Amino acid sequence: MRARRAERAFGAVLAVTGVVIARASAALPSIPAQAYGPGFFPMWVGIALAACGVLLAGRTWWAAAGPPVSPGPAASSPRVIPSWRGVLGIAWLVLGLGAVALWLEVVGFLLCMPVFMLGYLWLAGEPVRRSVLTTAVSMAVVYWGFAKWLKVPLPLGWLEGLF
Amino acid sequence: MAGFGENLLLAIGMLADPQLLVVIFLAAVFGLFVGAIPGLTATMATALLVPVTFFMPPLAAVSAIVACTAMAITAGDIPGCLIRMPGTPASAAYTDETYAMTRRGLAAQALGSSLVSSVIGGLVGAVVLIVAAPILAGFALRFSSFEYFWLAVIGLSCAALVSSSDLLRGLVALLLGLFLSTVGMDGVTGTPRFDFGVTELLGGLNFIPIMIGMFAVSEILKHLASDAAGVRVQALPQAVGRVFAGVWSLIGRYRRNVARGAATGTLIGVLPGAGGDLGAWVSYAMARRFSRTPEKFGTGHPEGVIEAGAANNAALSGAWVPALVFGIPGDAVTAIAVGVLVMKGLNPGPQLFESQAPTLYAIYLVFLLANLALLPLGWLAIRLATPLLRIPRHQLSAVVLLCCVVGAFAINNTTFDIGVMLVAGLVAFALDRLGVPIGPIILGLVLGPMVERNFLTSMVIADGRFIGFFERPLAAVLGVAAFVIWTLVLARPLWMRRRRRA
Repeated sequence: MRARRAERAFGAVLAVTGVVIARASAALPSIPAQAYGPGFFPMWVGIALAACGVLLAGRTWWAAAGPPVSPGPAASSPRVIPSWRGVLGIAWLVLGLGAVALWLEVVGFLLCMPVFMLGYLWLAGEPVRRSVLTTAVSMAVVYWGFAKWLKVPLPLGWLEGLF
Repeated sequence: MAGFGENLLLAIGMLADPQLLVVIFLAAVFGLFVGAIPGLTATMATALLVPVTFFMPPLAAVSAIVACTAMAITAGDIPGCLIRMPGTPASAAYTDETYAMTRRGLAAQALGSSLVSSVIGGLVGAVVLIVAAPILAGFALRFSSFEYFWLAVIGLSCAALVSSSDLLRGLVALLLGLFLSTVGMDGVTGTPRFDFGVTELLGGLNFIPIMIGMFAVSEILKHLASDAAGVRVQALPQAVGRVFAGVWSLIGRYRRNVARGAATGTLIGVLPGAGGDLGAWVSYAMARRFSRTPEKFGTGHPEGVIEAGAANNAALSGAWVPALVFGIPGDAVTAIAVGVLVMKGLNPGPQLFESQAPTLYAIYLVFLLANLALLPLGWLAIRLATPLLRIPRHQLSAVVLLCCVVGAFAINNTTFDIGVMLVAGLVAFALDRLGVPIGPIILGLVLGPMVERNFLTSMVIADGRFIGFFERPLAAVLGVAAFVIWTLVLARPLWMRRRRRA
């Protein structure tokens, strides 16, 4: 039942996405004196995506009496409830990487990434000493390798001028 | 144009560069390390390697990818054999068999036979690549945009068909990849598409942050969600003894399996979208089907391990045939490699065989070298397996995340790509939960511009008439083949339903 609901919702999202893509593509101008243009290809991709969405959602109704046709491995597997550490880890990873993307330029690589890594390891329940060692060594190797050796301008942010 | 001998000499000269050999060695060690860690795939190893290849000359970049993937696929057998956790999806095909051998005290034999058959399979695949690619390239010189369009359609169709047990999900993945390829300015008219007013999107989505997100970030999310990330190996079932003891006679006894595995793997590798993972599964099934002792399978019998081991490495080399000749990747790894080749100005296609012949010959030699190097390096990885498997998973994930951030940033030196990587990781995580394969998304992303460009060019040439796509004999054959593939695929369920009713 859960698998069927997930499949229906996924199909509906795909169908709506496909329609939005097709409509937006159809609004693009065509090549002068031709019936097609930059919108032609994405329009057909959108139409096909919408059709796939309808088929995905539809086949759950067609097979209502029996199990869903070829359910996805995750959808058909028994529900695994992540531990609170797992949930916190996911939250930290998503929010942390989002924060890194937003503030890396301002705060700097050498301050942002150790905080992100140490937070991730602390939430995962890793021993503090080992976590600090892993973070320090990997940061040193990666910073030296990319910033000094490969000349990637990793932002220094607040530490600008110190290095 | 230089002859074979001259090109070969030039290639050997290129390969003799100590810096290149160091790059190959380091990439191989990196591949062995990533492949030997359960849950970290060969594709992920390649994805993490690409930002580094950005700073290398073209030959070194491609060589690093070739060496890394060959090693990662082979090293994936180690954790599967010792702790029943396959290192790569390809190894999963025979993990139960190798683990059963370990329980019988045959861990060294399982790993040794798998390593040797992988080397033979990889060498066979490389020889096929060396022989077949130039012949096909000579043939492909006659191709126009019509043939390329149909070839890309057939390639994409195969990717959707074989990537998942569910055609619809494979198709969805492919369409999502094709859509992502349309983001940014259109290549023909320069019209902005789906950029939502974001300047960074005008140039299109760079496939590297997407790939890092989809293969590395999503993998870590998956481990956190399944709570498997905390798994640590407390003790290995047994120490691995002499790796090559008795292996050569075993390979001799099962030489037919090695040959069949190498042939099957190469053929499957050439098929777009299939790759080493499918090669190993198909070969293991074939070994069981044609075995004189099928009842021994699952009890720790080396026959299937040898055949599937040969197949997965042969498929790796086979996948490079369509990638180099037509620019159509055979699997996710070669999709990444095609992206790297384009990034380095080596646009794949038949012209590459004329303009960059020495570089191509050097790439061929790297295939042979990487597969031969598997023997000593694989032996070393097996000997070092115990400490390698004791690395705590969370510590490793944190380092992988650090590499992901730096890798995504380094492509354009912009934090925007870190955001793209994060979003791609979340999308791939969600799609994986829904059973949608990720490989076809990357193939769609790489092949999308080729399909669209060739379609629009052909439409202009044919003056807007779709029948023009069938007017050249070769294009007609390819077009009909594409239609036949889809007709068979769509008609089969209807035929099956009718048969069931009858």
